[in-house]
Amino acid sequence: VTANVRLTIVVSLCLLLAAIAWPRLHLSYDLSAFLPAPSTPSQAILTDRLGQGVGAQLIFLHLQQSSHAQALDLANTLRGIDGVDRVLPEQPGYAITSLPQTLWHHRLLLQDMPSDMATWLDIFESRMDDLSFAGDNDLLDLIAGDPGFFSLNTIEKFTAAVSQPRFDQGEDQFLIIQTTPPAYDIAGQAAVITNIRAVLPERHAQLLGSPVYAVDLQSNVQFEATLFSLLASVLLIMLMVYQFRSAYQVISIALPLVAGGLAGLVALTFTFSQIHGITVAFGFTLLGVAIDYPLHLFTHSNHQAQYAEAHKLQPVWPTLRLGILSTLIAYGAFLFSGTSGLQQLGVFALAGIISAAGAAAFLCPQPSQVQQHTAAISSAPHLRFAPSLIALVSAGGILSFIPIFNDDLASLTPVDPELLAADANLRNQLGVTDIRYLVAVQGESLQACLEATEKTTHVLDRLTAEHQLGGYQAITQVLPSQRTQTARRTELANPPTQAAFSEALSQSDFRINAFAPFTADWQNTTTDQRTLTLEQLQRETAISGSVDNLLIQNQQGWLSLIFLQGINDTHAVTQSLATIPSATWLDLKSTSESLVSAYRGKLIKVLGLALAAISALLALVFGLRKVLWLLSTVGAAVMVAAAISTLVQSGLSLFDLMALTLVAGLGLDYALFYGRKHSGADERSTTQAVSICASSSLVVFGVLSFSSIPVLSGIGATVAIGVLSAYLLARFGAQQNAGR
Amino acid sequence: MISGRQAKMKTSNQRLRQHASFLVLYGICCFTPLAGFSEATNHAVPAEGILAALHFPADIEVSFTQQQLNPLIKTVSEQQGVMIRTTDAGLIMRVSQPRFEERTLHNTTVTLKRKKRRQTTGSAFFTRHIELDPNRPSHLVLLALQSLVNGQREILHQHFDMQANITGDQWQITLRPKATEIQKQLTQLQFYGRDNQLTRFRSERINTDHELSHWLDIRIEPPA
Repeated sequence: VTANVRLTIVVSLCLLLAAIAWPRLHLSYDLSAFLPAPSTPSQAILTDRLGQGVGAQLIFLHLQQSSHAQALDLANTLRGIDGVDRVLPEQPGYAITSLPQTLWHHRLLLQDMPSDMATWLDIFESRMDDLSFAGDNDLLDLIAGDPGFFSLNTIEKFTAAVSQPRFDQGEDQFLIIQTTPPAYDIAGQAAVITNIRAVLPERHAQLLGSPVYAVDLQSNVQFEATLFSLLASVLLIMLMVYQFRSAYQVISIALPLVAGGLAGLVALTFTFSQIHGITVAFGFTLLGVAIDYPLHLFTHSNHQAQYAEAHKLQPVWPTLRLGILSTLIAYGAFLFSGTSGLQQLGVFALAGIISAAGAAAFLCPQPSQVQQHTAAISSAPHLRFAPSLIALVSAGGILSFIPIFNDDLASLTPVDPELLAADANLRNQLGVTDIRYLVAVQGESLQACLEATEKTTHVLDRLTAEHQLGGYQAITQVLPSQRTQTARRTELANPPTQAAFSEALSQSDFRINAFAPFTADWQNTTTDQRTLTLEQLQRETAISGSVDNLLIQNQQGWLSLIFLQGINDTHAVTQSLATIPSATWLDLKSTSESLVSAYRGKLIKVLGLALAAISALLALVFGLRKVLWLLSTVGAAVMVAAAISTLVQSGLSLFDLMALTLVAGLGLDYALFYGRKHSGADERSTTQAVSICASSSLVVFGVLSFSSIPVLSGIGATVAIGVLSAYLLARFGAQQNAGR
Repeated sequence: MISGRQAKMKTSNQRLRQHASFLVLYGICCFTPLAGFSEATNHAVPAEGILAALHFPADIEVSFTQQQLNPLIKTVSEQQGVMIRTTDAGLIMRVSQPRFEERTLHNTTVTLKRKKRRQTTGSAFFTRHIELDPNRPSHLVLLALQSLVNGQREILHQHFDMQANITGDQWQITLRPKATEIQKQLTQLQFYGRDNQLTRFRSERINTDHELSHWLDIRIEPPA
C-alpha cells in the first residue's frame, strides 16, 4: 500500500468518525453531571441543586447617567422579553388580579388568624397608615379583601430575591433581571442576553452577573481557544516542516491526533447519553501525549533510512508500545473510578490513544527485519539519579510550605477571580440574598416533610424575632401542611376568633362594611373543606419555579429546602436547628469543598493504583533499578511542575491535576526513550525524536500559557514547565553512558 | 402712636403688596392683551411665573395638617406633623399625630419609617423603601408635591397639564394628569398659595363609577 493510499484511508476514516460523532454529540455544561456521586446528604443536595439557586440566574443592569424614571421604563420593556422571568424593582402588585389566584383564594389558610382584638386593632392601624397618602383603587380593593395582607405578605416573603435593595443611587441606576433558563444552559442564557442587549441604550449601560460572565466567557474561550490553537498549529507546522521537510509526513503527524480525538468522541457518544464539556476539555488535554507517537516513528524511520547501511538501528516500536501500554493503564484506571465524569474521561482517552497509536503505526510502518541485527551493537545507558533527586527534594521542599490544593468549586470556573470579586461586591451593594446557607428538611411523605418544615420555621421565626436571622424562604409559606390548614380552618370557625375581628372593627376608623369581601370569604372558608395542594401551586406560573426550587421529590421521599437571609449569628442558628432531627444545616461552600476534596482524593487514588500497575509492568520488563530511575525522573518532573504551578496560582485545581497527569505521561515517554539501549546512531535518532516531541509539546502548551483565561493559561504553564523538566531530567539522567 | 401689633400688620401688608405687585407685573409682562384686569379679579395666568417665584425654604420645619377621606373609613381622618424641604431636593414629612410616621422622598424613592406596634428586640421602627412609579396615582401625587416644593418644574410639565389663577395675593395652580390611565383615578391636584408661599395642597380621586370617592387635603402653615 502506498503512502498516499494510507493517507487517504486515514483521512476517510477521520471523516467517517466526524460524521458519526457530530450528530450524536450533545454536550452538557451542568457541573453536577461531572462531579462524583455524593457521599453525604449535604453533598447530595448540593449536586442536585448546583447552579439552580436564585442567585445564579440574576443579571444586573447598571445604567449610568440615567434617571430612575428611565430605568423603570426600561424595566417595563425588559419584562416583555422572552426568557426574562422578573425585573426588579417591581412595584408592589396591589391589584388582586396580579396575585397568584390560588394563594388569593386560600389566603385565610396561609397564616394563623389573629384571635385577639389587640392584634386586629394593630392591623387596622397599619391599614390606615397604608391609606395615609391616598391609596389607589387597587390598594383599597386589596385592603377590603385582605386587611391582614396575608396574601401580599406571603408572596413578598416567598419570592424575595433581594433584601433592602438600593436600585436608585443618584445617576447610577440598577435593575436586576431574573432569567428563565437554568444557569448552566449557556445557549439559552445567551439568547436572552442578546435580546436584552438589543433594547439597551448604546452607551452607559452595563450588564453584569453570572449568566453574562458565562456567555461572555464561552465566546471568549471559543475565541482564545481558536486563536491559540491556530497560533500553536502554525508554530507546530513550521517546526514539523523544518524538521521533516515532507508534506506527507507533516500531515501524517497531525492525523493520528485528529483520529484519536474523533474516535474518543465517537466512543463517548455510544457509551454515555450525556457528555460533559469538561470531559472533552480534560480528554483533549490527556490526548496530547499521542502526538509523540508519529514523531518518534517518523524520526526513527527517517534516521533508519539515512543510516541503514552504516549502522543498524534499534527498532522504536517496543519502547513506544511500552509507553502506549503505560498510558493505557493510567487512563484505563479512570474506568474503575466509580465516577461518571472520570469514566467518561477514561473511555475518551482509551479510545483516543488506541486510535492515535493505530493511525500513527498505519501511516508509518516500521520494517521488522532491522531488529534482528541490532541487539549485538546496542548498549544500556548509565542511569543517574542525582538530577531527579535534587529536583524532587527542591520541589518537595516548596510544596511542604504552601497549601497544595485548591478545593474551591469556583476554581473550576474559568471566570477571572477579580470579576468574581467585583460581582460579589455588587451583589452585596444591592442586597442580593446569599444562597450559601440552606436548611434541608427530609420527610418520608409530602405531608411529613411539610410538617417537619413547619417545625423548623417555628424555630426560624423565633430567630428572626431575635434578629439573629433576617428572614427565610420556605415552601410552607405558600403550602402549609394539611394538618395546619385544617387547624386554621377550625380556628376560623371559632366564635371568639370571629368576635375579636368584629369588635376590633367596630372600634376602628373603618366602616363596618369596609371588609365585606373578606368576611364573605371567611364564612366560605369555614364551610368549604377544599385545601390548598401542591398541584395547584405548580400550575401558578408566577411561583411554580420557586415551588420546584424549594420542594423536591427524591428517593427518600420529599426534601424541603429553606433559604436563609441575613444571618447575623451563624452559631446561634446552627445550635437552634440542631434540636430538630429532620433538619440539616447546609453550608454550600464547605460542602462543595468537601466534594471537590473527595473528588481529588478519588482521582489521586486511581492514579496511584495506575502508577503501581505501570511500575509492576516496567519492573517486569526492565528490573528494579531502571524502574526506580524512570519513576524518579517522571516524579521529579511532576513535582517541579506542581511546585511552580502552586506558587504561581493559589493551589492546584482539578484542571492542574489533569495537566500533571499529562506531564507524567510525556515524562515517561521521554525517560523510556532516553533510558533504552541504543547505539551511537540510535542515540542521535532518539535525541532528535524526543527533542522534537518535547519542542512540539512546549510550543503548544507554551502558547496556551499566554491565554488570558486563567484555566487555559494554568494548564498551558503547568504542562510546559513539566515537559521542560521531564526532558532535561531524562536527557541528563541517562546521557553519559550513551555517549561513550 | 402705632402699637406693636399694628406695626406687625403694617409690615405684613407691605410685604403682601410687594409680592402681589411682583406677580401682577409678571402677569402683565406675559399677558399684555389681558390688560385692564384689576388686582381683585380672578385671572388665568401661566403657572410658570408662580412656580418660578415660589419659595419653600430649605431645612426649616413647616407645620402641616393632612385630612383625607376614602370609601373604607367612617369619617375624615387627620394627621399632623412637620414638612421639611432638604437642600438635596428631598422632602421629609414627619407625622406626629395620631401616630409617628416619617415619609422621606429623595429622587424617586420614598422611605417610610413607622413605629413598630409590638417591639420585641432591636429597633423600635421599621423602614420600607418604595420606588416611586409615576404610573401609580398615589405615587404621582407625592412626586408632584416633591417637585413643587423643590422647583422641579420640568417634572410637573412632564406629567401634568397646568393651569394657574390669581386672585389678589392668592394663587391657585391646578394640575391635571396627562396620562389617560391616571385620569381614570386621579382627576386633579390643586396647589394653593399666597404670595410666594405654598399654603394648601389637595388631590381628588374618583372610583370606577366616576364618583368622587376620596380626597386628600394638606394645609401648610407658612414659616414665620
